[in-house]
Amino acid sequence: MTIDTQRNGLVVQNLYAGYGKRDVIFDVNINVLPGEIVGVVGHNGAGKSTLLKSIFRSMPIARGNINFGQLDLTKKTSPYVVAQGISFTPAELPIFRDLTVQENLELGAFSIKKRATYWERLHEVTEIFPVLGERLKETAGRFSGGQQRQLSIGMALMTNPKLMMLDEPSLGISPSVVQKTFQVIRDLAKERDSSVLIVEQNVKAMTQIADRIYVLRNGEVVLEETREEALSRDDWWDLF
Amino acid sequence: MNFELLAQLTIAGIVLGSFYALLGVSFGLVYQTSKIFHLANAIPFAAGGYGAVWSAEVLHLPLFVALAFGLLMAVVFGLLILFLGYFPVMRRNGALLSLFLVSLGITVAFPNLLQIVFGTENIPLRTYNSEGELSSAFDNRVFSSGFLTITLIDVLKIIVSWVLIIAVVVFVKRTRSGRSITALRTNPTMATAVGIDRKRVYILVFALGSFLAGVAGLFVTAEFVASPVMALQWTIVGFIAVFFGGIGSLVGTAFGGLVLGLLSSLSSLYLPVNYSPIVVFASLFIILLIRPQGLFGKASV
Amino acid sequence: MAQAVLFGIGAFTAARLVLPKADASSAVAASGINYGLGWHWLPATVVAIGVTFVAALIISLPAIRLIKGEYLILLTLAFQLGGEQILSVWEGFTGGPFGVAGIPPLKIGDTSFSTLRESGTILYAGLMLVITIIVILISWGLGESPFGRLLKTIRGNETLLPSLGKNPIRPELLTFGITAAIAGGIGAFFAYSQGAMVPGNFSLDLSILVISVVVLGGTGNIAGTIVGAIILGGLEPILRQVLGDEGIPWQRVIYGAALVLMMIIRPAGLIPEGALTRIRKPKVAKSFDQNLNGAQGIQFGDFTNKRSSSPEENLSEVLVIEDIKKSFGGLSAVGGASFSLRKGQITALIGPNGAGKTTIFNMITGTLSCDSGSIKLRGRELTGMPTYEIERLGIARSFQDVRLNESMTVLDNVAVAVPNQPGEKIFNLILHPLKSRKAEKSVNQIALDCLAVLGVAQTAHELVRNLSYGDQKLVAIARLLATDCDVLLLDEPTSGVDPGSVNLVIEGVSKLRDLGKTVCLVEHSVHFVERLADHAIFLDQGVVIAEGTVAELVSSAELTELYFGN
Repeated sequence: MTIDTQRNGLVVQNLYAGYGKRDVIFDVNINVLPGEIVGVVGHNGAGKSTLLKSIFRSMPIARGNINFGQLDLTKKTSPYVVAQGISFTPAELPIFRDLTVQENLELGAFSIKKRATYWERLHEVTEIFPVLGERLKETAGRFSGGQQRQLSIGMALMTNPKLMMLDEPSLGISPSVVQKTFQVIRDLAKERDSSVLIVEQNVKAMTQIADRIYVLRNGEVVLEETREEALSRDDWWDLF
Repeated sequence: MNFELLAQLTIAGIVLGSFYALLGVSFGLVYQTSKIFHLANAIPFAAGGYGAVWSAEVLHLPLFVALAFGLLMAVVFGLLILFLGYFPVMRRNGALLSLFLVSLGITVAFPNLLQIVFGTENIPLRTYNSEGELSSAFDNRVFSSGFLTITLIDVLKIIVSWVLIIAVVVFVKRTRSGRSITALRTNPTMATAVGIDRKRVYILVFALGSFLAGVAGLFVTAEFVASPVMALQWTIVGFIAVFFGGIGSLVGTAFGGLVLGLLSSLSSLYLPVNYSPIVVFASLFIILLIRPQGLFGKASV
Repeated sequence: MAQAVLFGIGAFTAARLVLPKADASSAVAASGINYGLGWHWLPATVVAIGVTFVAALIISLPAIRLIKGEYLILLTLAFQLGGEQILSVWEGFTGGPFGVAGIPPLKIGDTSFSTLRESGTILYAGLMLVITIIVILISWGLGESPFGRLLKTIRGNETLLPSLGKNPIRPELLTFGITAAIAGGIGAFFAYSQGAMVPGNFSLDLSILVISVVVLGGTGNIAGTIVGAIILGGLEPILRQVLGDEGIPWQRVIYGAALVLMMIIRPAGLIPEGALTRIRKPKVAKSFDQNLNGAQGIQFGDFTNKRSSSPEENLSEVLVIEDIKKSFGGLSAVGGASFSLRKGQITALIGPNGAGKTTIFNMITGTLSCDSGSIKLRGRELTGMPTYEIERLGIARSFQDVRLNESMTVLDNVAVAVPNQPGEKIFNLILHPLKSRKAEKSVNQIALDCLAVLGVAQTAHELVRNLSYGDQKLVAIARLLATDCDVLLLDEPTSGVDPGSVNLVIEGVSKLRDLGKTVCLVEHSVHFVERLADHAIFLDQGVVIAEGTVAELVSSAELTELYFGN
């Protein structure tokens, strides 16, 4: 499979990363084609967050490389990664709880220089998530888990990213809201032709929207398959 | 109750407290954002005073230019400490303790360097007057009204301190850069996620904190003299104001400083004057015992 | 940070005690400044040591509640600076800013150790050398003792010790007190040797100098401090020769610069901790039976943790948990979980993220309190007890992030877990040194045996930091064995272990079962749980959904739905 490097495809090769002298992920190879939605599933502690953080460069890389389009991200820093159009939404505390919704969205747009663009994007985001638009001046910490998640996705959307990276977006949300939120993500991605890389424990929600899925177990990639293959699989326990 | 004395001491307490508040905000900005126990905040303080004194006497600069030069030196030295002292350790993933030890080393070395360069004598702030002679730069007029007296510098201390504190608070709340400081402090992961550059925020807070420290240093120099050992005592008070007032907010710190100043001043109603510094330390000790989050701080410590 | 002022307290206390008694008739005597109680220097030194010890304990008062590092720094800094102020103001004690003078020189028999200012320098150098050697020996002895091992374990790892059944507060306070007492004692000798001193001698600069010495030489070992002291201490006379009075500020500049440079270039110091620990071949016990089928297990003897003498039957209920609940700020983490752990069985807690598995662990060990419900160990209610008490009743846990002290040897890391060691109390070290020595031998043997069970006895004398993570995990399990606890809770034993070493860990955990322990583990990888657990408990949202063998749970469609598609 050749990666169209003219456009913005993410290619991770032979990645080893971890904390201090200890690696948490071993020889990980994944890629996200432009316009694709890719899921990485695995048990808690399998290294999913570590993978995303390594790509986002908020964690050191021991070995391997990361390319986004023509750019080599391996030795770069997080601000650089953001500037290239990659967004990252962490699993826990994905918003600023003490600030208002609007202040949160404004911070989401931190890397945007033009004020006019900020207002455009704000308008767009509040259309996608109306509840945010209705409660712009309220403190984010008082919202429900699902609404906070929506805000976190809204913040990522403020930069209109080419690649959106989400760490366990279903964390702390009820199943029905998860379904809705995931559907919104898929629709948006397909509409804007942007890529999404989601890391999740919730396999079911993942198989509903992902084009392809990787399974990470104890730091290694043990499986890669398409959505159709994944939907018909029944031995998930052993993969976790 | 001697009301005259009480009133005079209260005013003195407000003056002192405002100054403490300034020092507290200066240190608090850096500490809250970076968690570095930046004892070396004493250096911009000293650099401010010495910068003004030196530029007035050697470069023959007039008063206000010399003061500006002092402030410039304060910011420059504060940033030098960040770049040459702290950043190298942070690159090595140094612990906060290591950063504190660097701070300690700088705090010990610098006053002695000052002593080597400028000698052990205390140097007053003097400028060249129209006849080309060095004379005292500042006419510290005394205002009295009935039984209350206050000097010009004291008045300036109150005004300048609070103006600067308010400016900083507004800056942090209202501007994009200011908000990046709060973002980094409250949720570093998200701050990085939205593209805030940690290094830049550190540079910003160090510049701001050093500027404020420099202002404080200029006050002490103008009112008394520039001396190699002046900075540390005042810097420590800044620390105490932060922990006494409450770590989470600059406003809490500022008011903590004000309370400390009043306590210190009013304590001389009952204690000999040279016991006042002890009151400050004792207040800290007590607060750490009964309310570790500080007077105005939030409960999660 | 408070060393200087503590040093000063010792010095002034001794000075006040040895200064000659005031002659009631003279007018100068009335001012009381350079007069004292006229004591002999020996009792004066003892009192000085005692006073400084007490002063240190006073500073530590707030420290008991404030564990965070920066508060300790602030506290000691405040004490140093506040203490300096007090010293310079308290004329009755220190003579105010001008200090005291006329302190009579030391007299041993007929020899008078006259002050350094006169010709007695060689005599004094000799005396100080003797004292220094004594202090080094005391410190070294304490450091190498089981007490010292306890201290090294506390460093950087406050929650570890309670999980091993030992309360860290007393050793911490004692250590601070002892080091202060030593400083006070040396202060007394400083007073005798100088003859006169001012409060300004005991300023923050001096504390920083001491810190520079330790940092330069290398924290964590005495050799390092000695080297640092020789280097920086030797600077002073050299600089004074070369630069005269100008030398003093230069000396301070060099200390400060040394501190900064060391932190940037070589934070571990000239002699890093553990560098001098030689690697020796372990003498594996000949009597230990490596075959575990029908083995007697490890002989704990006097160090046993066991309260009950009657053996239980295999698979009997050891720990019974009934309807425990825990909420955090209105959010329920555990909503009423009930299950039991059985002897000789490995029970796994599994479930999706946020199911409350680790919270339940923490509730069992006492790290978190239960809002309601009961946890009974052999019928005895555990809720409400502090962690170290629960450990003493026989429940120990491992940590997901291992928590071994990297600069100690493997053997030391395991030995610290053995209960009831006399050598951990300073009282015993001083009064029953031989008994402590003998006990230490047995303790080390037990530790070695535990390591042998896990197959890592050969690493006993290596520093933990040189071990692979998989081996470290095995050492952590060995440490659990060394606690002689019956109920062992393992927190994610395979997490973070590289694929090549995982099997060793799985085998290690299985051996615990063979030894008749009651094991409960939290594991996120069901793949490993399948190989490890005899019995599994499926949790979701803090409630037990199902129990059974792993095979049974895995084949349930309902649970599959819950786990993979919640």
